[in-house]
Amino acid sequence: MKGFVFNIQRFSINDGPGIRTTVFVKGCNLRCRWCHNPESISPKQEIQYFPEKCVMCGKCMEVCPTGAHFINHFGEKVFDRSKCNCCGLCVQNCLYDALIQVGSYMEADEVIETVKKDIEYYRNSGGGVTFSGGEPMLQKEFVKEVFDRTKALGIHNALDTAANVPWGDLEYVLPSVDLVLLDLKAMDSAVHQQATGVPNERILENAVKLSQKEVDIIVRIPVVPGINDTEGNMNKTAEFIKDFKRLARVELLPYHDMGVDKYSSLGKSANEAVFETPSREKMEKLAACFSKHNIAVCVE
Amino acid sequence: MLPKRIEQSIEKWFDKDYRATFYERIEYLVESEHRYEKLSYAVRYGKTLEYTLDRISLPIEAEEKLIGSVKEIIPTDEQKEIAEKLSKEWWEIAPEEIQKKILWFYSYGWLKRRPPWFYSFGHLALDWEGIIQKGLAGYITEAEAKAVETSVKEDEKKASFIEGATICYRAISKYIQRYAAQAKFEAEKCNDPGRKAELLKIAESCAHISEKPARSFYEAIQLIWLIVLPLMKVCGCGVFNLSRMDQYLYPFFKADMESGVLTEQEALELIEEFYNKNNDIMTPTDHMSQELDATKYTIEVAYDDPNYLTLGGLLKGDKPGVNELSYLFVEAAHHMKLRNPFIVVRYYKGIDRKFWLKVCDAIRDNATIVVYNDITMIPALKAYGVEEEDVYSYGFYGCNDPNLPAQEGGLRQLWFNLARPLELALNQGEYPMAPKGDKPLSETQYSLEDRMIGLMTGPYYGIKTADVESIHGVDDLLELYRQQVRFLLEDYRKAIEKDIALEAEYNAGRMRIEDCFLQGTIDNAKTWNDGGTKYHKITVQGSGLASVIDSLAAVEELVFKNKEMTLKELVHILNQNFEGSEFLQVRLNRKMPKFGNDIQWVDELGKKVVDIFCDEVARVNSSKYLYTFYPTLSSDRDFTTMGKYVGATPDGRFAGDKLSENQSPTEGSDVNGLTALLNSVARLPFNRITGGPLNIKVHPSAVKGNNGLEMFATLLQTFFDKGGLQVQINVVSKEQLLDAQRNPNRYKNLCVRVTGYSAYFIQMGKKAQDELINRTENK
Ligand code: SF4
Ligand code: SF4
Repeated sequence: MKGFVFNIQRFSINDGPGIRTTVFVKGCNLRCRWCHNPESISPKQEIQYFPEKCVMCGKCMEVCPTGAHFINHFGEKVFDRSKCNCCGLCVQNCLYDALIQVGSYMEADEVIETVKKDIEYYRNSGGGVTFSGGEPMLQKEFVKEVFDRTKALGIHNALDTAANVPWGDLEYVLPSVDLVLLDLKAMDSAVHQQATGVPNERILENAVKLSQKEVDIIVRIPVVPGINDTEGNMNKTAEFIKDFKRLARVELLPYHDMGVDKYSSLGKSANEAVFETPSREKMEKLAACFSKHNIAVCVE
Repeated sequence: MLPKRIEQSIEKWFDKDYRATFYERIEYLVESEHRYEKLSYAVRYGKTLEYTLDRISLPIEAEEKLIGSVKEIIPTDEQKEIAEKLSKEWWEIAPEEIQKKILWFYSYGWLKRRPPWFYSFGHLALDWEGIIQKGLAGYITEAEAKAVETSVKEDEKKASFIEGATICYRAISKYIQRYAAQAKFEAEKCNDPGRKAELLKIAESCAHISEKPARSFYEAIQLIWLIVLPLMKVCGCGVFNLSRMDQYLYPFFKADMESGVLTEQEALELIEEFYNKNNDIMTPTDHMSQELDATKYTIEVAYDDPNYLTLGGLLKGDKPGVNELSYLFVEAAHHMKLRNPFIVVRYYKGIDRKFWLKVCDAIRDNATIVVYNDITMIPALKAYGVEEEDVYSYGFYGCNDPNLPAQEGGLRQLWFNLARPLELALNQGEYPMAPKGDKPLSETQYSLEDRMIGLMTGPYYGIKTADVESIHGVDDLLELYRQQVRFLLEDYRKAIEKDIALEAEYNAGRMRIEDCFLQGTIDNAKTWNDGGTKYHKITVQGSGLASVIDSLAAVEELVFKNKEMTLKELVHILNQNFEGSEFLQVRLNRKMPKFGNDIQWVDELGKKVVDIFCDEVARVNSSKYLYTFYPTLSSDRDFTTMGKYVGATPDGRFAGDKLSENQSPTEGSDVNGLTALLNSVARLPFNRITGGPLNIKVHPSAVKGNNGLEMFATLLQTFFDKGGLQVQINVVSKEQLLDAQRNPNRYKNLCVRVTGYSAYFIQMGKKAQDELINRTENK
């Protein structure tokens, strides 16, 4: 079966324990304002364009069936997305990586072949494979197939999810999951709605159900100034998760602006996505909200 | 924490004037040049050494516990001129004349400070263990016993070698005695009672080790330094392999610790002083950056040669070699992060995790530590005839050449340009950049200079192989490649054997100081050149590997898989240097499958190339030759020079452009991350390859924190368990390096791994700096 994947990152050491391979799937049902993977949001193929890499060789203009690439009367090379149907021809012909197609339909086999390449590294480091996104749970059949098979190979499976899906979907993949990286953004539903476009009730319900299953949980919280970076929010989160029986730890991930450049390459504006990076002290302070409940916490 | 005095000494070195020269050496060489002219070579060598060592100054720095320095001055213009004139007198002669004096000399720059009657190479390990265990008196006794043997007495060359060696031992012994006297003298003048006692102790110890074996950890290190120092700075031995210091010093360390005369802290400080001494005698420059003022100026001998030392590794019977001293040596390297010494840690399966983490921690902090793998090195060395009883002692000297301590005599190497036979295979043995046409092949393709220096420069032609029109797959092309490799290696063997015969004629009995401290030389009353030691090796360094692999992969993809053009057509385009095929050039360069991305079929082409190389090297080895060729994969920094002589290649490389570097993928072509890179490299058949570096640049963010360290350590461990050979790592970001170029003063001590040596980044030339900046950055 095929999945819709936009990146497979090897030697990944921040998506669960050990050395891992992270499979990023495309398509998400949240719209977090700070998203640093804007290419993961849309469930469709997209073309990224990096004008600074373009050498004006003209190949894309030659091959594009819809005339989406052209030189305007200022002599500038333009990519008019409204004309593009994502056929990918220009990408294949751009030798300078100025055009990149985001998202490809991959067979589970193909993904597993790549994952298997680093199996010794997983074994020696306690690592494995992580599904991330986007929202992997939107492709539950694909995730399940890959996970079932990697599990059979003795590989540790981690699922990075926002859990904004029907509980049955989670339950469906869970038997092959060793670890859930559970993303919790905000405890107040109104805040959550405002920041991600969806309320958090279902997420929290799922979180509680997950905590009753035989699966390890790492709670990950992106810390975004002005959105969820209050001690109040962190205290509430701590209260909420403190009795999760297989909670391994909490990871606080400070907002960084490394994803900002990607917005323009997708023809999107990054204005909404720019925040300050929280200070070290701030992060430590927020971390303390968890340690006082004896919850292991680390700041990335 | 580094003791203050050492910290200050390092600081001082960073500000050292590059003109600072140990001028006394030149002065006494001039004085003694004609004095001993009439004597045999070996005796003259010994007398020259004695004359110099009897006279040079004996500085002792404040507070230091390990003594031994030379006096440096800034030479006047006149003095500088004298030195330059000497070099010219000595060596501005025809290559044929040079050859009669010296068979191998690495580079003209390297040669010019070494007089024909008093030259040394270094690039080997002395019998350090023998030195500290037997003492100089032990050597003298052995030589004296040898001198009276009839076979020696009756052979003029042998007799004079033994006589010369004895003079050398005595000269060094006297030098150490003089240092003892100097320490005593300074003690008497000293008002500080603490220092006075220290100096007296130093004096007593030096007096003892001037003849006798070392009695303590301190005396062992002190004796080694007082031999290393004059051998490097007076004789011009560059790049020693100090070999396994954590092993041969261990009995002293253990005894001292047990009897309570030494603490770990004291041992650590002595090691740090020893490192500092190594660093301190260098000229602040980078010899590979010829364009630098400092490199152009220097009249110093062995002026920036780092010494190698080995830690860890297996012991005979596959027992683990890491001990308490190994930890201290790593710790000192981590504290200091100097470019000299260059430390090789030998990995083995099951190496103590704590030690391994300590090593990786030092590496991620940019200490000068590289790792070699016993799992592949031991079988590789055995494959070329190293015996079980000797193989465990292996180490390296610069740059990354394998070495059996005390059992072989020094640097001889050929950089075998792996891209040349490919070009020849594609062109039926013709060299398109300067076609030979119908002229017959000359007797050898290796000019005398190429043989003496080891680089393949200018045109090289091959034998006529089948036209590429007649081949149907990459394996056919590889067969042609094999024939060209064979031709070039057979040619080299034939040519070098003639040279060696010539050497036997002209250089017999030409003793160098190295011969005095090797195993077998005195016993057999034969210098290394004459066959005194057990092993004789020439490293044949395969260079430009990834350029060749990527070329083959491109041929496979474009010609045999996609059938976009015939190989003949491609060759034609290459011979036009892509003129009119610019689009194809970019495609070949950027869009073809490349080595370093964990693409199995591409990597397997790499394995085939290396197998061919090793097969053919092995084919030209034989017990009838004194010298065995050892294949390595190492271009050093000469991949730029080597590229100059290679036409356009199917990997989209233009004619004359640089080749790929050492074991690395072509610059910027490994894009799948560290594990992919390491998996690709580990597919090469390293159990047949005896050395060579894999340079990796890692972004600091990838190894930060405890978790980062654990993962980094596991990453490397897994690579070695999978059969990787070596890694040397720079943990530094592109931004940091660019910033260092702009603000050199803030980065004085940023020490980076270059190829077989380290350099302080800001002391490197712009070109070398840029090379480093452009290496793929792994996040
Ligand atoms: S093909 Fe790529 S480099 Fe060429 S004009 Fe188009 S975008 Fe620019
Ligand atoms: S993807 Fe296809 S339609 Fe879109 S710009 Fe490229 S060539 Fe044109």
